[in-house]
Amino acid sequence: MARLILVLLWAVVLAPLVGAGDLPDAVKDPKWWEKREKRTDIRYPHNAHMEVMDEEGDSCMLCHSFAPNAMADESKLKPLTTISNEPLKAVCHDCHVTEQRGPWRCNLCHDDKTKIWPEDHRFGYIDHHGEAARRDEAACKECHLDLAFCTNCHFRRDTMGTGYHPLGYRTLHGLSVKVDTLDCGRCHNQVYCETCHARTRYQ
Amino acid sequence: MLLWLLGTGIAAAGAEDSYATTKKLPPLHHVIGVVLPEEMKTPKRLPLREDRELRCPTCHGIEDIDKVPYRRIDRSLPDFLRGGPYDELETFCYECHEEDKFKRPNIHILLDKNGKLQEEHCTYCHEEVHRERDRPLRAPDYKLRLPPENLCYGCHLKTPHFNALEHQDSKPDAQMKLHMKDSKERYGIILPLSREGKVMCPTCHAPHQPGVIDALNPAVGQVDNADLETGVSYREHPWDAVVREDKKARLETLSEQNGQRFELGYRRIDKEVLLRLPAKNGELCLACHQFDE
Repeated sequence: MARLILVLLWAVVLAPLVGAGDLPDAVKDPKWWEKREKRTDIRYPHNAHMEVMDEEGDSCMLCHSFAPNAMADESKLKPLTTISNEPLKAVCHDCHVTEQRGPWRCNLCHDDKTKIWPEDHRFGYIDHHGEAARRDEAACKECHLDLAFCTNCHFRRDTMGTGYHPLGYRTLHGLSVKVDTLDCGRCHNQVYCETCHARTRYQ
Repeated sequence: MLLWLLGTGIAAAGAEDSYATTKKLPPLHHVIGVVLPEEMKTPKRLPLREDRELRCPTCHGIEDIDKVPYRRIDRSLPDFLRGGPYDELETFCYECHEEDKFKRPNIHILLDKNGKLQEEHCTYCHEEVHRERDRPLRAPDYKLRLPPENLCYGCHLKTPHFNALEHQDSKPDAQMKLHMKDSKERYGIILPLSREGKVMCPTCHAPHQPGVIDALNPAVGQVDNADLETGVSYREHPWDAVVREDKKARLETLSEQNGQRFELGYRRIDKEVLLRLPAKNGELCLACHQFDE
């Protein structure tokens, strides 16, 4: 009985006190730079840029402005400072995209492509990308800098791989053609078909 | 109860303070009702009364501003101060007051042309002049007039440049302190923190003109092309246009919210002054900050 009382006493009175020290600190508003640390959509390796910044004659202050400020009202200055500290897409892209003086693979800095791709890429875009490319090829090239991104599929001839179509599709493709010929025409022109069909005819 | 609340609300609304109802000016307001001496020249767009008395409309372009409750006055309106908006309030003051008479001396210029100590400048910050310049002082013997974290605010605002406020709030963690210790040893400088261990103006800025303290003293830590007469100078840079374009949309949104126009550009620092290490190549920043990759 005495043991039972001791156990109950521990559970009701002492146990909560022991755990009290483990309570998390009051939640503080994170500073802007702490929030930026948590961002996963842009990666900026500082050390990798030190040398080139030095060569260019720039420094940390290109992105983190320490320019003179005439605004003394802190409530207005803080949002203004936040904007001044925002990543400079145009400056990054000047080297990495426009001039391609630096590595230019998008996923080098943007590790989640869904955060930077256009809205129309979100659903079924692969089926309609040909039309968009014909309409405004330059828009595609803003992100897809390497033509290999297109040719890796379009010039693909390794029929062993699955590619765009599932494995074994060659056997069944006649059925698809009969059901929706236009769908094939999104990617393939008549020459593509005739290259094989004409050959088999002659044989 | 509802009637009581309604009555209180109406009474509170009627009690909104304006100059006309209270005859009290806001804190730190310029005096009014004074007759200006003949020798004081004022521009025509700042109208005085016939007897040269200074009134509300002399400075303010907002109609009947004395009848508008203080908290309803929109200070962001361009004509809040006639001819505004002004980037610096002093520009407006000098419309009537002579700039030269009110110009503060640059007390960081501590040596005259002969290299002699201008002692009256030392005593802006120190209670006593330390004349034995060969003998280094220890921190407790500085005899500063205010704690070092507050001293600069006697003359400077807390917001002289972007990211100043953000730094003043911050307290280096243990890892950063270790890195700062390394930097101090590497460069032979000091990077002093406040009594609370926070970053303060003198953490990055060295207040003494080169030549005042023995060059081997870690407290000197100065950029070598300092010109205190001209101060910090900048060079234009082609990326100014890039930065402006990049920030444009966000600044326009902020301007709409605040009713005030904001601009952000980029100029490279050409010459810098009163810094413990050069900032224009990032050395000063990297004395505290370090990165894993």
